[in-house]
Amino acid sequence: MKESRVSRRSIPLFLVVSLAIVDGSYGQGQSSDESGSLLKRLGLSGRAYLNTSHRVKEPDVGTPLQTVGSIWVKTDGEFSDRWKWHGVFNWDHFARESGATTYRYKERRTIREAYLDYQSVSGFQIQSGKKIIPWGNADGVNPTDFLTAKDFTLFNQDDEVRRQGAELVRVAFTPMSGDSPLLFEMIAQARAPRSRLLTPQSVLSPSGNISVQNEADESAAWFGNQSELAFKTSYLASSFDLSVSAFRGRTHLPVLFLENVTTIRARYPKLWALGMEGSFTRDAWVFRLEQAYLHPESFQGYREVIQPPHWDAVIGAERRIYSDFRVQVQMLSRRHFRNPTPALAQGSNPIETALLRQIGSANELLLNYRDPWLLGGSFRLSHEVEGSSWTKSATLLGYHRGVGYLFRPNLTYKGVENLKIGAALDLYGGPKDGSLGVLRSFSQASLQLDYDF
Amino acid sequence: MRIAPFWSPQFQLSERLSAVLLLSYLVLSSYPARALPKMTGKEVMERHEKARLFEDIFANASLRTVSSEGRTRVKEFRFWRKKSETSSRYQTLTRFDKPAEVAKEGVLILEREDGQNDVLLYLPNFKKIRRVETQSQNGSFMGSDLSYTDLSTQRVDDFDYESKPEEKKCGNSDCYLVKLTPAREEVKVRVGASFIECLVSGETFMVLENSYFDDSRKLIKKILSQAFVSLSNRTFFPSDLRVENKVTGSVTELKFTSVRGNSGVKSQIFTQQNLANP
Repeated sequence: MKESRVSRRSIPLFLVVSLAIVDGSYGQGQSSDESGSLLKRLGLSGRAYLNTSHRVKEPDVGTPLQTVGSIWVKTDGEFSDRWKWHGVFNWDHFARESGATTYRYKERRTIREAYLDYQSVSGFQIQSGKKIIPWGNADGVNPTDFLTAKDFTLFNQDDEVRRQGAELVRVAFTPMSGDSPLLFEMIAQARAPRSRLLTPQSVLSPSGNISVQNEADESAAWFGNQSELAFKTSYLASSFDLSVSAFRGRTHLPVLFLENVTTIRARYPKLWALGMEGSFTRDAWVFRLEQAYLHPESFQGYREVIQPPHWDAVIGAERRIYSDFRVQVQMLSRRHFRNPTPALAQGSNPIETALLRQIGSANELLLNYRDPWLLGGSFRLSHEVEGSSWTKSATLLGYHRGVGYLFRPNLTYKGVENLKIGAALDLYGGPKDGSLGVLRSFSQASLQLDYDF
Repeated sequence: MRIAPFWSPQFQLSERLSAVLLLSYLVLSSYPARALPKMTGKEVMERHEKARLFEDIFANASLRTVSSEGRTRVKEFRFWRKKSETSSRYQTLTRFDKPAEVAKEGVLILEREDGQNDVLLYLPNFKKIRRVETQSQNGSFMGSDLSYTDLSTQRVDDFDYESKPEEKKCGNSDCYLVKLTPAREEVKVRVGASFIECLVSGETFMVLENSYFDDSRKLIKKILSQAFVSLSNRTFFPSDLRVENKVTGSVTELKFTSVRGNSGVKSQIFTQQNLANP
């Protein structure tokens, strides 16, 4: 019965996306008429996608996890040579699993980005508004990505769709009137963005007797202790680039806290961090390095429950092999400077102590720090023949010591201009008490239609 | 019927004159073409380097690729190029506008003094810049039959030349056929060919045709320059290129319009900061 409900509800999503596609095609062919010129003046463009994801692991093989239809309207333009604007507005429709047999339907209109951009003759650039600033040059795992958050509960074959920005002011300065390879940036965010983790209910409350408030609180206050500040200095030479960064703000990944003996809530502790990233090419290879020291602030009674200070690093290399293949290898390291010991957590009474220890273990599992030093890697192989409409890729991400793995093969067809059809698998595996293995219930097959207009 | 000789009184003066001109043409055209100045292959290419030497350029461009199955894809982009202040190396930026799936993508090509090129690709969906390694610079430029290297300028010092280039007729003018062999392995990798046969106009010293051959001397690609824009006295820019991929059978046409030469393009355009700020 639930499948038929989802299918019925999915019809408007298909219609919305189809309408966007038809409208987009019409707009493309009307460049000389009035609507075409209006589109041009407003710099309107957009994207529409439809994703449907289904379970592939027993016992619920084939049951839908999520269906999302989304339209993005983008506007870009210039007030003058120095002033520009940029905006991206989303309209999403979700049909999402919320329990073993129930689904939630949700419509969401959000401003993904909306900012003004000013560039001076002297090399200053000021951007103000809501913006996504993704730091880090590694692939998929970015220790220096201090400024954005991700909604991991939104299933999409393009990871960037999950990314969320913040309301901010960015001031950048390039010496020599913008001609120098040096770049200095300062970013002040009014409110820390908040990630949503993919969390099996059993991890949070195995006994089912605790209410879990895992949704990120959208009503978080602006400014004050929710604000964030970051600095970055980059040397962007033609043959290599290197940058160092510093950040003071909050963790963007949720940490579980015990609100009271019946409620667990996601919170975002204060954090300071230092980062470094660089890349260069040598012959057939592109090398990338990214690392960061992250220091979440602990507080009274919660030292054993939140993630200890740690150093995350990624070293990667990428190259073309034969004529149509690309291979990318990354080594991942997570070194914690204090042994996580949730078993030592102490509450004010035995019940609170037990709950704290349980939460500490859940945090360890969800944020992947059960072992003080974890080594892992990722391997990506893609195949694309010049002139062909098909792209094939496969990514494997894994850690040692029982964390588990994620295997993600993907097949994309681009036979029609601006239209992309993708089929993908997300297969989580490994021990059930590993950070990736525990997500096996979210192993999924997905089909995605993506249209740019 | 007997035809009277042209000197006979039966011929009018104008007819005699025409006959003399016709005869002169026939006599002269039976001789070899007017000899081109004797030059070595390297000298020809040095003249070519001067003929395409400009300070900067801006143009709109259209890239039309027709696959061997007849499928057509058109991409439009803006094109900036500027000469380095200290050498004859160039910096090139392309920013794509159409179709929507590649809008705002940018490619920055920085020609280095040591003969290497740095190619940086901006991907707006990721908001990130990716480096294109040397080995991939002979790969397809945005799905066309042009490579990233074809978009950069070829330098005289990157190649070895035959001492005596062949002279050929090309249309109504005379041309040099110069054989370019990559001087170093990295140049060979970047160019993606074992050698190039370059047809250079003896009049303008612009390259009219480039034929790329692989190690087995098989023709793999041909680039024909079909029209030029004059930027200043004896300086030209190829505004209409046709690329024939002999391996896949596809064809790409690159046409530049609204070409503005030496108009003071700013050097800040060719920074990574600008690349990531479409």
